[in-house]
Amino acid sequence: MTEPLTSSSEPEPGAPAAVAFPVLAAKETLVELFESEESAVLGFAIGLVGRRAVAEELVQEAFLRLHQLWGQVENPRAWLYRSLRNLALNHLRDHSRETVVEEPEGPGNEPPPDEALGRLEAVGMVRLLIAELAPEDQDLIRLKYHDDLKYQEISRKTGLSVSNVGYKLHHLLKGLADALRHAGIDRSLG
Amino acid sequence: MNTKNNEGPQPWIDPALEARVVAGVLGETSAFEAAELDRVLAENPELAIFKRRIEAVHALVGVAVRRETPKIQLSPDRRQKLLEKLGARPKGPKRKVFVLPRPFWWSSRNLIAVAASLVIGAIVVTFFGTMVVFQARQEPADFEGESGGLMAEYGNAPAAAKPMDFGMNAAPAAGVTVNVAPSSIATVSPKSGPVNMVSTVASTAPMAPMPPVALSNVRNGGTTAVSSLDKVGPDSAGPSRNPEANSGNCSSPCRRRDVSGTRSGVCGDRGF
Repeated sequence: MTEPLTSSSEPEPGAPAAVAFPVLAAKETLVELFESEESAVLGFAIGLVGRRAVAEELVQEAFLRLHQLWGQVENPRAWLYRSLRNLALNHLRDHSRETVVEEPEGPGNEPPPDEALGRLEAVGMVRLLIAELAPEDQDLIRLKYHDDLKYQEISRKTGLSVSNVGYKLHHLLKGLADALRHAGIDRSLG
Repeated sequence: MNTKNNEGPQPWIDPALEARVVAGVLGETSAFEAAELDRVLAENPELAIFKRRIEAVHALVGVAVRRETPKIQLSPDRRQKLLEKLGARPKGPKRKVFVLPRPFWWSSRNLIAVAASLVIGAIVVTFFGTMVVFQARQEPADFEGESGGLMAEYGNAPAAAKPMDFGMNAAPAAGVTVNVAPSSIATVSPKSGPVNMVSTVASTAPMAPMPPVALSNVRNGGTTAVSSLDKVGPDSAGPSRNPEANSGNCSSPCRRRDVSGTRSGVCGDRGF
Protein backbone atom coordinates (compact mmCIF):
# COMPACT_ATOMS: atom_id res chain seq x y z
CA MET A 1 0.00 0.00 0.00
CA THR A 2 2.08 2.80 -1.30
CA GLU A 3 -0.17 5.64 -2.20
CA PRO A 4 1.15 8.93 -3.49
CA LEU A 5 1.24 11.89 -1.22
CA THR A 6 -2.14 13.07 -2.29
CA SER A 7 -5.55 12.53 -0.95
CA SER A 8 -8.74 11.58 -2.64
CA SER A 9 -11.25 14.37 -2.73
CA GLU A 10 -14.14 12.22 -1.59
CA PRO A 11 -14.12 11.09 1.99
CA GLU A 12 -14.34 7.46 2.86
CA PRO A 13 -17.93 6.21 3.18
CA GLY A 14 -17.32 5.38 6.79
CA ALA A 15 -15.68 8.66 7.56
CA PRO A 16 -17.43 10.85 10.12
CA ALA A 17 -19.36 13.91 9.17
CA ALA A 18 -17.34 17.06 8.95
CA VAL A 19 -19.35 18.88 11.59
CA ALA A 20 -20.24 15.99 13.82
CA PHE A 21 -18.41 17.16 16.91
CA PRO A 22 -18.66 20.26 19.03
CA VAL A 23 -16.11 22.98 19.12
CA LEU A 24 -13.75 22.49 22.02
CA ALA A 25 -11.65 25.57 22.27
CA ALA A 26 -9.80 27.99 20.07
CA LYS A 27 -9.02 26.02 16.98
CA GLU A 28 -5.37 25.17 16.65
CA THR A 29 -3.63 25.01 13.33
CA LEU A 30 -3.30 21.75 11.47
CA VAL A 31 0.45 21.75 11.95
CA GLU A 32 0.01 22.23 15.68
CA LEU A 33 -2.47 19.39 15.76
CA PHE A 34 -0.02 17.21 13.86
CA GLU A 35 2.80 18.04 16.24
CA SER A 36 0.68 17.25 19.29
CA GLU A 37 -1.12 14.14 18.04
CA GLU A 38 1.39 12.50 15.73
CA SER A 39 2.65 10.04 18.29
CA ALA A 40 -0.78 9.22 19.69
CA VAL A 41 -2.49 8.63 16.36
CA LEU A 42 0.44 6.62 15.07
CA GLY A 43 0.25 4.41 18.16
CA PHE A 44 -3.49 4.11 17.68
CA ALA A 45 -2.99 3.08 14.05
CA ILE A 46 -0.33 0.56 14.98
CA GLY A 47 -2.68 -0.85 17.57
CA LEU A 48 -5.40 -1.14 14.97
CA VAL A 49 -3.53 -2.66 12.01
CA GLY A 50 -0.51 -4.14 13.76
CA ARG A 51 2.06 -2.99 11.16
CA ARG A 52 4.12 0.12 11.42
CA ALA A 53 4.43 0.84 7.69
CA VAL A 54 0.71 0.54 7.09
CA ALA A 55 -0.01 2.60 10.17
CA GLU A 56 2.19 5.42 8.87
CA GLU A 57 0.37 5.43 5.55
CA LEU A 58 -2.99 5.56 7.31
CA VAL A 59 -1.88 8.42 9.51
CA GLN A 60 -0.61 10.30 6.49
CA GLU A 61 -3.87 9.75 4.67
CA ALA A 62 -5.91 10.86 7.65
CA PHE A 63 -3.98 14.10 8.00
CA LEU A 64 -4.23 14.81 4.29
CA ARG A 65 -7.98 14.33 4.38
CA LEU A 66 -8.23 16.59 7.38
CA HIS A 67 -6.15 19.14 5.51
CA GLN A 68 -8.73 19.17 2.72
CA LEU A 69 -11.67 19.56 5.10
CA TRP A 70 -9.99 21.81 7.63
CA GLY A 71 -12.37 24.69 7.13
CA GLN A 72 -15.43 22.51 7.70
CA VAL A 73 -14.34 20.34 10.59
CA GLU A 74 -15.33 21.73 13.95
CA ASN A 75 -13.56 19.22 16.17
CA PRO A 76 -10.42 18.25 14.26
CA ARG A 77 -8.96 16.04 16.95
CA ALA A 78 -12.03 13.82 17.23
CA TRP A 79 -12.43 13.83 13.46
CA LEU A 80 -8.82 12.72 13.04
CA TYR A 81 -9.15 9.76 15.42
CA ARG A 82 -12.48 8.69 14.00
CA SER A 83 -11.26 8.99 10.42
CA LEU A 84 -8.11 7.05 11.23
CA ARG A 85 -10.11 4.28 12.84
CA ASN A 86 -12.39 4.07 9.80
CA LEU A 87 -9.38 3.98 7.48
CA ALA A 88 -7.85 1.18 9.53
CA LEU A 89 -11.06 -0.83 9.57
CA ASN A 90 -11.41 -0.39 5.81
CA HIS A 91 -7.83 -1.49 5.34
CA LEU A 92 -8.32 -4.58 7.50
CA ARG A 93 -11.47 -5.48 5.60
CA ASP A 94 -9.88 -4.94 2.18
CA HIS A 95 -6.72 -6.84 3.03
CA SER A 96 -8.17 -9.57 5.18
CA ARG A 97 -7.11 -12.32 2.77
CA GLU A 98 -3.61 -11.07 2.27
CA THR A 99 -0.72 -12.87 3.90
CA VAL A 100 2.22 -10.90 5.06
CA VAL A 101 5.33 -12.16 3.29
CA GLU A 102 7.61 -9.38 4.36
CA GLU A 103 11.23 -9.98 5.03
CA PRO A 104 11.99 -10.86 8.58
CA GLU A 105 12.06 -7.87 10.84
CA GLY A 106 15.39 -6.70 12.10
CA PRO A 107 16.27 -6.31 15.73
CA GLY A 108 14.24 -3.55 17.35
CA ASN A 109 11.77 -3.60 14.50
CA GLU A 110 9.72 -6.55 15.59
CA PRO A 111 6.00 -6.21 15.52
CA PRO A 112 4.61 -5.51 18.97
CA PRO A 113 2.91 -8.37 20.74
CA ASP A 114 -0.83 -8.64 20.66
CA GLU A 115 -1.16 -7.39 24.18
CA ALA A 116 0.76 -4.25 23.35
CA LEU A 117 -1.27 -3.78 20.20
CA GLY A 118 -4.47 -4.13 22.16
CA ARG A 119 -3.31 -1.55 24.64
CA LEU A 120 -2.31 0.90 21.91
CA GLU A 121 -5.69 0.45 20.31
CA ALA A 122 -7.50 0.88 23.61
CA VAL A 123 -5.59 4.03 24.52
CA GLY A 124 -6.25 5.47 21.09
CA MET A 125 -9.92 4.63 21.40
CA VAL A 126 -10.08 6.34 24.77
CA ARG A 127 -8.50 9.43 23.24
CA LEU A 128 -11.08 9.36 20.51
CA LEU A 129 -13.94 9.04 23.00
CA ILE A 130 -12.57 11.84 25.18
CA ALA A 131 -12.17 14.09 22.16
CA GLU A 132 -15.85 13.56 21.42
CA LEU A 133 -16.98 14.52 24.91
CA ALA A 134 -18.52 17.86 25.74
CA PRO A 135 -15.94 20.51 26.64
CA GLU A 136 -17.00 20.66 30.29
CA ASP A 137 -16.69 16.88 30.56
CA GLN A 138 -13.26 17.04 28.99
CA ASP A 139 -12.33 19.62 31.60
CA LEU A 140 -13.44 17.30 34.38
CA ILE A 141 -11.35 14.46 32.96
CA ARG A 142 -8.34 16.74 32.63
CA LEU A 143 -8.68 18.10 36.17
CA LYS A 144 -8.92 14.59 37.59
CA TYR A 145 -6.35 12.72 35.51
CA HIS A 146 -3.92 15.37 34.29
CA ASP A 147 -3.96 17.74 37.26
CA ASP A 148 -4.63 14.88 39.69
CA LEU A 149 -7.11 16.89 41.78
CA LYS A 150 -9.50 15.60 44.43
CA TYR A 151 -13.25 16.03 44.17
CA GLN A 152 -13.07 18.94 46.61
CA GLU A 153 -10.50 20.80 44.54
CA ILE A 154 -12.38 20.14 41.32
CA SER A 155 -15.50 21.47 43.02
CA ARG A 156 -13.72 24.71 43.90
CA LYS A 157 -12.36 25.11 40.38
CA THR A 158 -15.54 24.33 38.51
CA GLY A 159 -18.19 25.62 40.90
CA LEU A 160 -19.90 22.25 40.93
CA SER A 161 -20.82 20.65 44.23
CA VAL A 162 -18.62 17.81 45.45
CA SER A 163 -21.41 15.31 45.04
CA ASN A 164 -22.05 16.60 41.52
CA VAL A 165 -18.39 16.16 40.63
CA GLY A 166 -18.56 12.56 41.85
CA TYR A 167 -21.78 11.97 39.98
CA LYS A 168 -20.41 13.34 36.72
CA LEU A 169 -17.13 11.44 36.91
CA HIS A 170 -18.99 8.28 37.76
CA HIS A 171 -21.14 8.59 34.67
CA LEU A 172 -18.21 9.62 32.49
CA LEU A 173 -16.17 6.57 33.43
CA LYS A 174 -19.11 4.28 33.14
CA GLY A 175 -19.94 5.72 29.74
CA LEU A 176 -16.35 5.29 28.57
CA ALA A 177 -16.38 1.70 29.74
CA ASP A 178 -19.60 0.99 27.90
CA ALA A 179 -18.32 2.71 24.74
CA LEU A 180 -15.11 0.70 24.83
CA ARG A 181 -17.03 -2.50 25.20
CA HIS A 182 -19.26 -1.41 22.35
CA ALA A 183 -16.14 -0.78 20.22
CA GLY A 184 -14.94 -4.28 20.90
CA ILE A 185 -12.23 -3.25 23.31
CA ASP A 186 -13.12 -5.39 26.24
CA ARG A 187 -10.05 -7.48 26.67
CA SER A 188 -9.02 -5.57 29.73
CA LEU A 189 -12.44 -4.46 30.80
CA GLY A 190 -13.53 -7.58 32.51
CA MET B 1 -20.61 9.02 22.63
CA ASN B 2 -22.74 5.98 22.46
CA THR B 3 -23.11 4.57 25.91
CA LYS B 4 -25.55 1.96 24.90
CA ASN B 5 -24.42 -1.56 25.50
CA ASN B 6 -25.64 -4.00 22.91
CA GLU B 7 -23.82 -6.97 24.26
CA GLY B 8 -26.62 -8.36 26.28
CA PRO B 9 -28.44 -7.34 29.37
CA GLN B 10 -26.35 -6.14 32.26
CA PRO B 11 -27.44 -6.62 35.82
CA TRP B 12 -28.88 -3.56 37.39
CA ILE B 13 -26.69 -2.07 40.09
CA ASP B 14 -27.76 0.58 42.49
CA PRO B 15 -26.32 3.87 41.14
CA ALA B 16 -25.40 4.94 44.66
CA LEU B 17 -23.29 1.80 45.02
CA GLU B 18 -21.72 2.43 41.60
CA ALA B 19 -20.84 5.96 42.64
CA ARG B 20 -19.21 4.63 45.81
CA VAL B 21 -17.20 2.15 43.74
CA VAL B 22 -16.05 4.87 41.34
CA ALA B 23 -15.11 7.11 44.25
CA GLY B 24 -13.13 4.22 45.73
CA VAL B 25 -11.30 3.62 42.44
CA LEU B 26 -10.49 7.31 42.14
CA GLY B 27 -9.16 7.41 45.70
CA GLU B 28 -11.87 9.60 47.12
CA THR B 29 -12.93 7.39 50.02
CA SER B 30 -11.69 7.29 53.57
CA ALA B 31 -10.27 4.15 55.14
CA PHE B 32 -13.55 3.45 56.86
CA GLU B 33 -15.53 3.85 53.64
CA ALA B 34 -13.04 1.66 51.78
CA ALA B 35 -13.44 -1.12 54.33
CA GLU B 36 -17.20 -0.85 54.14
CA LEU B 37 -17.03 -0.95 50.32
CA ASP B 38 -14.86 -4.08 50.41
CA ARG B 39 -17.46 -5.78 52.54
CA VAL B 40 -20.21 -4.87 50.06
CA LEU B 41 -18.09 -6.01 47.10
CA ALA B 42 -17.49 -9.36 48.71
CA GLU B 43 -21.23 -9.86 48.98
CA ASN B 44 -22.01 -8.64 45.44
CA PRO B 45 -19.98 -10.26 42.61
CA GLU B 46 -21.67 -8.15 39.94
CA LEU B 47 -20.52 -5.05 41.72
CA ALA B 48 -17.01 -6.54 41.82
CA ILE B 49 -17.10 -6.95 38.01
CA PHE B 50 -18.20 -3.36 37.68
CA LYS B 51 -15.31 -2.29 39.84
CA ARG B 52 -12.83 -4.23 37.66
CA ARG B 53 -14.15 -2.56 34.53
CA ILE B 54 -13.91 0.88 36.09
CA GLU B 55 -10.36 0.17 37.20
CA ALA B 56 -9.43 -0.80 33.63
CA VAL B 57 -10.98 2.33 32.19
CA HIS B 58 -9.35 4.40 34.91
CA ALA B 59 -5.93 3.06 33.90
CA LEU B 60 -6.57 3.67 30.20
CA VAL B 61 -7.82 7.20 30.75
CA GLY B 62 -4.76 7.93 32.84
CA VAL B 63 -2.47 6.75 30.05
CA ALA B 64 -4.46 8.57 27.40
CA VAL B 65 -4.64 11.88 29.26
CA ARG B 66 -1.11 11.91 30.64
CA ARG B 67 0.29 10.64 27.32
CA GLU B 68 2.39 8.03 29.00
CA THR B 69 2.86 6.05 25.80
CA PRO B 70 6.32 6.19 24.25
CA LYS B 71 6.72 8.96 21.70
CA ILE B 72 6.88 7.67 18.15
CA GLN B 73 7.04 9.54 14.88
CA LEU B 74 6.54 8.96 11.22
CA SER B 75 9.61 8.14 9.19
CA PRO B 76 11.64 11.31 8.61
CA ASP B 77 11.08 11.41 4.86
CA ARG B 78 7.34 10.87 5.13
CA ARG B 79 7.10 13.31 8.00
CA GLN B 80 8.91 16.03 6.09
CA LYS B 81 6.74 15.61 3.01
CA LEU B 82 3.57 15.59 5.06
CA LEU B 83 4.54 18.71 6.97
CA GLU B 84 5.27 20.52 3.72
CA LYS B 85 1.90 19.44 2.42
CA LEU B 86 0.19 20.67 5.56
CA GLY B 87 1.80 24.06 5.17
CA ALA B 88 4.49 24.00 7.81
CA ARG B 89 7.40 26.27 7.16
CA PRO B 90 10.74 24.53 6.94
CA LYS B 91 12.83 25.21 9.95
CA GLY B 92 15.81 27.31 9.03
CA PRO B 93 18.25 29.51 10.85
CA LYS B 94 16.51 32.20 12.75
CA ARG B 95 16.80 35.68 11.39
CA LYS B 96 17.85 38.46 13.62
CA VAL B 97 15.17 41.05 13.92
CA PHE B 98 16.05 44.49 15.11
CA VAL B 99 13.21 46.39 16.59
CA LEU B 100 13.54 50.13 16.24
CA PRO B 101 12.22 52.26 19.05
CA ARG B 102 8.91 53.75 18.23
CA PRO B 103 7.73 57.22 19.09
CA PHE B 104 5.27 57.41 21.93
CA TRP B 105 2.33 58.13 19.67
CA TRP B 106 2.98 55.06 17.54
CA SER B 107 0.52 52.87 19.29
CA SER B 108 -3.00 53.15 18.01
CA ARG B 109 -4.36 54.41 21.33
CA ASN B 110 -1.92 57.29 21.54
CA LEU B 111 -2.41 58.06 17.88
CA ILE B 112 -6.15 58.26 18.34
CA ALA B 113 -5.73 60.50 21.39
CA VAL B 114 -3.49 62.90 19.49
CA ALA B 115 -5.85 63.00 16.52
CA ALA B 116 -8.84 63.59 18.77
CA SER B 117 -7.04 66.43 20.52
CA LEU B 118 -6.23 68.08 17.21
CA VAL B 119 -9.80 67.79 15.98
CA ILE B 120 -11.24 69.17 19.22
CA GLY B 121 -8.75 72.00 19.18
CA ALA B 122 -9.63 72.86 15.59
CA ILE B 123 -13.32 72.86 16.42
CA VAL B 124 -12.82 75.13 19.42
CA VAL B 125 -10.67 77.58 17.48
CA THR B 126 -13.14 77.67 14.60
CA PHE B 127 -16.10 78.14 16.91
CA PHE B 128 -14.63 81.00 18.88
CA GLY B 129 -13.23 82.60 15.77
CA THR B 130 -16.69 82.57 14.25
CA MET B 131 -18.14 84.03 17.41
CA VAL B 132 -15.68 86.90 17.45
CA VAL B 133 -16.34 87.72 13.82
CA PHE B 134 -20.06 87.53 14.38
CA GLN B 135 -19.86 89.88 17.34
CA ALA B 136 -17.74 92.33 15.45
CA ARG B 137 -20.20 92.42 12.59
CA GLN B 138 -23.13 93.11 14.87
CA GLU B 139 -21.54 96.12 16.51
CA PRO B 140 -22.22 99.53 14.97
CA ALA B 141 -19.58 100.96 12.85
CA ASP B 142 -19.71 104.43 14.39
CA PHE B 143 -20.35 105.87 17.77
CA GLU B 144 -24.05 105.97 17.46
CA GLY B 145 -25.27 103.15 19.46
CA GLU B 146 -28.79 101.94 19.43
CA SER B 147 -28.63 99.49 22.20
CA GLY B 148 -29.15 101.75 25.09
CA GLY B 149 -26.21 104.03 25.26
CA LEU B 150 -26.11 107.66 24.39
CA MET B 151 -25.96 108.61 20.82
CA ALA B 152 -22.99 110.58 19.94
CA GLU B 153 -23.50 113.86 18.36
CA TYR B 154 -20.28 113.65 16.74
CA GLY B 155 -21.45 115.29 13.62
CA ASN B 156 -22.65 118.38 15.55
CA ALA B 157 -19.52 118.94 17.46
CA PRO B 158 -17.45 121.90 16.54
CA ALA B 159 -14.70 121.27 14.17
CA ALA B 160 -12.21 122.26 16.77
CA ALA B 161 -13.35 119.50 18.88
CA LYS B 162 -12.52 116.92 16.30
CA PRO B 163 -10.88 114.66 16.80
CA MET B 164 -11.76 113.99 20.34
CA ASP B 165 -10.09 112.07 22.97
CA PHE B 166 -12.05 109.06 23.95
CA GLY B 167 -9.57 107.72 26.34
CA MET B 168 -10.38 106.54 29.72
CA ASN B 169 -8.67 109.36 31.47
CA ALA B 170 -11.88 110.82 32.64
CA ALA B 171 -12.85 108.67 35.53
CA PRO B 172 -16.53 108.32 36.01
CA ALA B 173 -18.09 109.67 39.05
CA ALA B 174 -19.22 107.48 41.81
CA GLY B 175 -22.28 105.52 40.95
CA VAL B 176 -21.70 105.89 37.29
CA THR B 177 -21.31 102.97 35.03
CA VAL B 178 -19.27 103.33 31.96
CA ASN B 179 -20.38 101.23 29.08
CA VAL B 180 -17.71 101.20 26.52
CA ALA B 181 -18.03 98.97 23.62
CA PRO B 182 -14.90 97.06 22.92
CA SER B 183 -15.02 98.01 19.34
CA SER B 184 -15.66 101.67 19.90
CA ILE B 185 -13.30 103.66 17.91
CA ALA B 186 -11.40 106.12 19.95
CA THR B 187 -8.91 108.47 18.58
CA VAL B 188 -6.57 110.40 20.72
CA SER B 189 -5.57 113.81 19.78
CA PRO B 190 -2.81 115.47 21.67
CA LYS B 191 -4.41 118.82 21.04
CA SER B 192 -7.75 118.00 22.28
CA GLY B 193 -7.02 119.05 25.76
CA PRO B 194 -9.02 117.51 28.50
CA VAL B 195 -10.48 114.16 27.92
CA ASN B 196 -13.91 113.83 26.52
CA MET B 197 -15.40 110.52 26.19
CA VAL B 198 -17.78 109.66 23.48
CA SER B 199 -18.64 106.18 23.15
CA THR B 200 -21.51 103.97 22.45
CA VAL B 201 -23.06 101.30 24.34
CA ALA B 202 -22.81 98.54 21.91
CA SER B 203 -23.64 95.61 23.89
CA THR B 204 -23.72 92.48 21.90
CA ALA B 205 -26.17 90.99 24.28
CA PRO B 206 -29.83 91.02 23.40
CA MET B 207 -31.64 94.19 24.11
CA ALA B 208 -32.32 94.20 27.78
CA PRO B 209 -34.68 96.57 29.52
CA MET B 210 -32.76 99.49 30.72
CA PRO B 211 -33.77 102.60 32.52
CA PRO B 212 -34.29 105.70 30.53
CA VAL B 213 -31.06 107.15 29.52
CA ALA B 214 -30.24 110.75 29.77
CA LEU B 215 -28.53 112.59 27.10
CA SER B 216 -25.98 114.74 28.66
CA ASN B 217 -23.97 117.20 26.77
CA VAL B 218 -20.74 117.54 28.34
CA ARG B 219 -19.05 120.70 27.65
CA ASN B 220 -15.57 120.48 28.63
CA GLY B 221 -12.91 122.78 27.45
CA GLY B 222 -14.92 123.90 24.54
CA THR B 223 -15.47 120.41 23.30
CA THR B 224 -18.96 119.26 22.91
CA ALA B 225 -19.47 115.62 23.12
CA VAL B 226 -22.08 113.22 24.10
CA SER B 227 -20.99 110.93 26.77
CA SER B 228 -22.18 107.51 27.35
CA LEU B 229 -21.80 107.84 31.05
CA ASP B 230 -25.09 106.63 32.23
CA LYS B 231 -25.98 107.18 35.73
CA VAL B 232 -27.23 104.11 37.36
CA GLY B 233 -28.89 104.70 40.57
CA PRO B 234 -31.62 106.72 42.03
CA ASP B 235 -31.10 109.44 39.50
CA SER B 236 -31.34 107.20 36.53
CA ALA B 237 -34.62 105.59 37.39
CA GLY B 238 -36.73 108.47 36.15
CA PRO B 239 -37.25 109.89 32.75
CA SER B 240 -34.48 111.48 30.89
CA ARG B 241 -33.24 114.86 31.99
CA ASN B 242 -33.39 115.98 28.46
CA PRO B 243 -36.89 117.17 27.92
CA GLU B 244 -36.46 117.12 24.24
CA ALA B 245 -35.60 113.52 24.34
CA ASN B 246 -38.57 112.77 26.51
CA SER B 247 -40.91 114.63 24.30
CA GLY B 248 -39.49 113.18 21.19
CA ASN B 249 -38.91 116.66 19.81
CA CYS B 250 -35.25 116.60 19.85
CA SER B 251 -33.90 119.49 17.93
CA SER B 252 -30.60 117.92 17.26
CA PRO B 253 -30.47 115.67 14.27
CA CYS B 254 -29.90 112.47 16.15
CA ARG B 255 -29.29 109.64 13.92
CA ARG B 256 -29.53 106.07 14.51
CA ARG B 257 -28.10 103.35 12.56
CA ASP B 258 -29.56 100.01 12.65
CA VAL B 259 -27.83 96.85 11.90
CA SER B 260 -28.38 97.19 8.22
CA GLY B 261 -26.70 100.56 8.28
CA THR B 262 -29.73 102.67 7.50
CA ARG B 263 -30.26 105.74 9.55
CA SER B 264 -33.61 106.20 11.06
CA GLY B 265 -35.48 107.38 14.07
CA VAL B 266 -34.95 110.10 16.54
CA CYS B 267 -33.43 110.28 19.95
CA GLY B 268 -36.60 109.78 21.87
CA ASP B 269 -37.68 106.94 19.75
CA ARG B 270 -35.82 104.23 21.48
CA GLY B 271 -38.55 101.91 22.25
CA PHE B 272 -37.60 101.44 25.86
